[in-house]
Amino acid sequence: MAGPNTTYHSPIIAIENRANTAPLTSALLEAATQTFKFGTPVNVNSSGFVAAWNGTSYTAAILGISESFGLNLASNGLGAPGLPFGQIAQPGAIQTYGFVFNEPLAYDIALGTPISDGRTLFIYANSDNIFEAIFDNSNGTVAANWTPTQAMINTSAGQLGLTVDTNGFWYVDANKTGGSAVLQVVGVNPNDGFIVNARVRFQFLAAAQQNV
Amino acid sequence: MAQVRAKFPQLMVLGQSKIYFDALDAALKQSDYPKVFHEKTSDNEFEQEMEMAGLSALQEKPENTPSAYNEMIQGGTKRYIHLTYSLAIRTSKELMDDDKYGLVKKGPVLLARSAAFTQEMIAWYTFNSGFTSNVTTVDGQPLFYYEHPLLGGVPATNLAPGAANVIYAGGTWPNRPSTDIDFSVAGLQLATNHAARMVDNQGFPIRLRWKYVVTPPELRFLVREVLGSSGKPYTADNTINSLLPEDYKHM
Repeated sequence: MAGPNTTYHSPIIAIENRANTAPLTSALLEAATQTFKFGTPVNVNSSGFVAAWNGTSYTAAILGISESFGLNLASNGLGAPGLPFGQIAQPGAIQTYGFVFNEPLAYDIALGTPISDGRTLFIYANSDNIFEAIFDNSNGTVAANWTPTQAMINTSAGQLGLTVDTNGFWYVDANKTGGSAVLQVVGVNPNDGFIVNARVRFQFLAAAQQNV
Repeated sequence: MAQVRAKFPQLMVLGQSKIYFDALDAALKQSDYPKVFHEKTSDNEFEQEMEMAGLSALQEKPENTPSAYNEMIQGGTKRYIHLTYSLAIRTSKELMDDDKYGLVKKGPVLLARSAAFTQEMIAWYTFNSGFTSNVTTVDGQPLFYYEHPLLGGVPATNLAPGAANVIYAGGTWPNRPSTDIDFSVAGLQLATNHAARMVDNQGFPIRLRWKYVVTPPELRFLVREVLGSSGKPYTADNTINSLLPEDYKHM
């Protein structure tokens, strides 16, 4: 059956940038009910909050790659610091539990619960930052479909799309080309070479970048 | 963007009689917030606190009858997440070299000044946000609120001495009037009573005393009149100023 070679794709990570400095990173208020994994393409939605990219819009569609996971906020930006000089507001954690006698608005937080600051941390999908992801093919049938080639490096043949797997991680999809392309393959991880499901390096196409 | 010579042509030639420069008073600025806030260092991502209520009062027990049992009460949780503040400055080497007054080299002093100001603003945000529900305390209510719920509930306020004089609802305790009051003799007396009657979660008095009256600078004259008068402020008789023994410090 045609499909990707694996359902276990590593999250997209930023590996370097052309200025050889720390990649430009930012944190913006997150939209409510987001449950994406880190390494997810994100954008600013029509309400002005960061949400996971839908994977099907291709023009000015990707703001960056998330460095944090979706906080599943009850409301947009819940808990983000008030500006200026504000604190991170309650609850400050992704989960609370239980109840408190006589104090209906109080809550408990398990000590190890990850923090929630109401924001998504992301690395900009600009033309300076270079990312890395697993190469695969959502409609592949043979090994060649799942294998990057030298001919893809910095050529139109390497202008491809991104697809999310069943586990919520995104991969470079050789089945998405032309109008579905959002990235340009610029290299391959030297430890992998041109093998099945190699890690390829890419930058986002200018047309796909969301500039906010 | 960087600081380059084109933006500072006045610094390229000697001859200015005086330059008024923000950075020069940096060392003179004394922080206010340490007078009110305790400072701690941390290498944690966050700090977390919880609240616990003790036991209620003893109960009279007739001869040979069993003792009643009581339980402590676990309260809520408050998490404080550390934030990082940062700022940087960029200057061309040419501007650094050619500045005849050495002002551009004071960038680090300016950053220290920025840091001091930022620390003040962050600290006092605790007060500024304490009157709304944007940031709440361990009981789920703002820092200053007229109905802070007690873990001991209504039995706690039933037990608390003089509760009826200050509370607005059973099972709660105020540290703010239900209707805000302008700074005045009566307002400060009410706040003083709130402190004197303050209880813990089981309604036991904790004998709290306010130390500082913290106001915006516009109120300083009024505060001096209320706290500085030897007689009762704004009266013509010879009544003493009963607020003086409270020994409030103003800032």
